[in-house]
Amino acid sequence: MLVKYLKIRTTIAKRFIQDELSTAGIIFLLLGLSLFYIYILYVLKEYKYGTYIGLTLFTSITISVCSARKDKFFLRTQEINIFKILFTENLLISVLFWAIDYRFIPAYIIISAISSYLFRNNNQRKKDIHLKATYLRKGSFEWISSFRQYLISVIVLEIIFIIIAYIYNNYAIAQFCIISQAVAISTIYLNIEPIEYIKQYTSPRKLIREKIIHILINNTLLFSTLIILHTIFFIENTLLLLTYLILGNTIIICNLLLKYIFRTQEFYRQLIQQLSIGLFIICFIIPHFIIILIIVTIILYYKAIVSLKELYHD
Amino acid sequence: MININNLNKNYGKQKVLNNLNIQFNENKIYGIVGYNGAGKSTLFNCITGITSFEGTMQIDKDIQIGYLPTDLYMYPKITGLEYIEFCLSARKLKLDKARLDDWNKLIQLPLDKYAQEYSTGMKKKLAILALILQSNDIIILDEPFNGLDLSSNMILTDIILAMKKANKTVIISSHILQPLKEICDTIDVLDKGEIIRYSNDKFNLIDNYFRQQRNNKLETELLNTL
Repeated sequence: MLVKYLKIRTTIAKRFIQDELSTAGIIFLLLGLSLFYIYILYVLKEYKYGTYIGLTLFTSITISVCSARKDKFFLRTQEINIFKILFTENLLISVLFWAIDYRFIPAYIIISAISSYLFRNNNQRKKDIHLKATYLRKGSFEWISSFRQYLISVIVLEIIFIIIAYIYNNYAIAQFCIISQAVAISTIYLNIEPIEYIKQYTSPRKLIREKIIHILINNTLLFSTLIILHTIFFIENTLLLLTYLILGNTIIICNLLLKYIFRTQEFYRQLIQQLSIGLFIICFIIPHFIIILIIVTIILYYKAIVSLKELYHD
Repeated sequence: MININNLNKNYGKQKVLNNLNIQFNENKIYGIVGYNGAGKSTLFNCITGITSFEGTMQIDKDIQIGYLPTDLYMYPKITGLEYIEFCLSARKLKLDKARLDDWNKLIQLPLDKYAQEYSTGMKKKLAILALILQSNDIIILDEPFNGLDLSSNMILTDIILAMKKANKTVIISSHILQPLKEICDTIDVLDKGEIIRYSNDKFNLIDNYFRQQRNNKLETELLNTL
């Protein structure tokens, strides 16, 4: 079954590339991805805490792969073992990271197993489409079910990593969970909402404004565990942590805006959102890039308004 | 085939199924009706093992259950035929081309086209075709008539009757009573987590039940307003 499933996924990817991209596009995409991977690999190997960042990056991707899946309910109705599928996929992704430091292979396997197990039953919530999101309520996480399970797993992961960071007196491990959290939260906002949901808001500006406020409140709330723990263990780095908080919020907002700009073009949306996460990782390594990210986000805001206005007029 | 006793299911503090007792026997068509949120889909999720529950559920050995949920998921860029092959491989079965052609004469789906481009009715028919070819003994259909046009409705009714002829047990939930009255052997009314069963000679009583419920609700609302 697993082989059949992987075959289907490969066929889907192959047809997406064939149907959506020209030969030049495929070459450009492969070249871009290879260069990006080589760059990340080079920087991470040179960087003092490169291995940890690599591990962080892998964890973020793993959580995203596990939580943002749309086909889990379908697979469950077909009595297919989702854990096996998620675990295998995550291990396949981890091949890319083994080159950074092969000594971390056991860590990759453990992270894959934990993430796959925790998120195996989460489904995208469809019943709440009629509800407007409200601050500080479950409603604001309307696109993910088993919210408590999700929240607890994020906080538990944070605590574990902070304790490990404290034991080894290594702040880089603490960064581990910051990126994980931001990428994991951004997956909540990646899913496309139905048009009825969008039109409940009277204008595009109002929709985006409310969503941004949710992101800021929700991410900061989840971040508060980290801030408290960091203040206890690494007080000298609190200011740096706040910078990361801004960075995390910016990337989630950036992904939200991309979702509205490329609402109907699924392939390009996924591609650009993944590239934006790449930019996010670069910002962690070279913080000066945060200025570019903020400028990009402002431009995206106006582009998203224009795209949504067309949707409101239809 | 399936014997459910004292089934309870809560979502947080909300009690969805309350000491539910129900039996499903072979070669019959069962209808389940109820208001939105009455617990129909939850009951199906419990039977298929998707959701945990309290109580006892005895299902005969070697019984295969197929489930058509309300919200269907189709992989993008996958043809109807590939979808069926994938569903069959989930049950470790191989495609029987002759059997597929026989059923598709009735259903008439363009199996070489991408399933995601199908209309709502076609997607439902494809998912049902996969369930039939999986040789499931019990087929559960959650709101199969929703979003279907008149001719698709008639085809679906024929398919369900054909499933009964092929010795399958079919359990259907629906908001639309009329097709259920035409094809079901019994109809169960699920209300406030409890169930009342009507045999086919007493189907006219179901309308009275809902009418009475509606009147009681209206009276209560009126009293509250006053």
